[in-house]
Amino acid sequence: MSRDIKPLFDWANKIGDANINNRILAKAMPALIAAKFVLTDTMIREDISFDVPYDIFDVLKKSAEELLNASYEEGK
Amino acid sequence: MFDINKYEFDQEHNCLEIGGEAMVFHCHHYMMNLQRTILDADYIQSELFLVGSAADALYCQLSNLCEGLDIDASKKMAQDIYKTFGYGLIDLSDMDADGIELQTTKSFFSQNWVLKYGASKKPVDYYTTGFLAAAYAVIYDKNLEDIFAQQSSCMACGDTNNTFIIRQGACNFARYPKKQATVFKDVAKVSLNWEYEELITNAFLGAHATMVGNEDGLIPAFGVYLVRTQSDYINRLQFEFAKAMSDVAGEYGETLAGELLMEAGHACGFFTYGGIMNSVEWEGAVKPYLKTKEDWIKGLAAIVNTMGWGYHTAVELSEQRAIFRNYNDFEDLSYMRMYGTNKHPIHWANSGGFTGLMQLVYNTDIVNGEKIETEEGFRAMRRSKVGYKTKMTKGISCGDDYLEVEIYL
Repeated sequence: MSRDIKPLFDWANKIGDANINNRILAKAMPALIAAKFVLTDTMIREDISFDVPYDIFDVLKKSAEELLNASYEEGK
Repeated sequence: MFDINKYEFDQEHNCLEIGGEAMVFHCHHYMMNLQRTILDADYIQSELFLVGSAADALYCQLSNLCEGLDIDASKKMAQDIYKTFGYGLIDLSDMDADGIELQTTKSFFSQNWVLKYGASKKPVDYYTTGFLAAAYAVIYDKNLEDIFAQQSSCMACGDTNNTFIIRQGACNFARYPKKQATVFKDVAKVSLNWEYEELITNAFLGAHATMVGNEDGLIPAFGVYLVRTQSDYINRLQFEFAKAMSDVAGEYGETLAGELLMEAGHACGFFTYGGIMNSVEWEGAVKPYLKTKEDWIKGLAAIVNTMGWGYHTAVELSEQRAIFRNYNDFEDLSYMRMYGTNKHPIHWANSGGFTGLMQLVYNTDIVNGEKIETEEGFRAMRRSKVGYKTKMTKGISCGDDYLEVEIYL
């Protein structure tokens, strides 16, 4: 099972810093490494959609929410 | 008040040394951005080096500045440099051989953290924690290894003041090996190749000495708060963070760290360089000589070459592509003093600053009087679809003669 991370990062970019992608990746880095999953700012920016496993999505979502002090609700 | 004028600016190497420490200016945008970047990675024990880097640099500096002084004169020296360098105010009169519990309401870090990011969940003035540990060690002839240092309250957390506890005990911050002496790279420099360079540089030589802490121990200038900081303190933060990220995730971690560190440089380039270009001093002493956007960049370089960051120059410069150099840049010299040589360039702050400068001049309307001062303006510029890319191509710590960075669309 996988899930597109683009809406999550679009939301983060709408309300966060210009470099929020890298901040989220840095915060989630240990989990990404443990899952052997390499994700970069360029990959996020250049792809129209980017599917990742559910557990990776959850880690990225939690990191984004912590950094932005806000809750992510898809579609809003 | 500590007299900066007693310390001669080294015009050959574009640097200033005080008490054996190379000193550089940084703005609150850079300092806060860098510290937040480090703290974001909460899986790293960064408190160790956030405090330890300050303690190490200040121990070296205060050991030199307090040599031959008695206890009271040494306390005054520490208080005076803290204020003069723009970190706020501290009162060491209650410090004794057992240490000190010190309170202050004037803190560059705590006040600017709130100004830029709002409230913090944890105390943020790691610099002062390290500063006080070093002052205690020097004044009472203690080993840093035997000192416990902690910030127990912080205005950034909503407390009414900052409280620091410094005492003998198990050391709770990082310690580092003795540093090497500065080795300058004395090679022929490519100049800015601009007819007004000497005129502008001479006009601003010595101006750095006017940027000292006010009655609150802060240095408001060019629309930002500046600190005159120990180059080895601030750069060790970068190097230790990159190393920690590399330890966690190898090349991926180090690359990501580099991107984040460069972002702090972008902020510095945008806000500080933008503030200089919006200033009365620029309007009167520089702007009359500027005809093209390239002149704006060269005028800025002619000024910052008097600030202690090395000699900035451009060997290629156009809207599409620029190649900048810095001879004896502060990042590489710091790296070599503390770590020796390296395989990859490590001058993220310089390179981010150059990139921010390109974006400022070519991607905003500053040359036509647009004010550059808001966080939203910074976000808009950074999100611009015509953003510049940055490639760090040479570094003195890699064995090259100078720092070189390519900025291109």
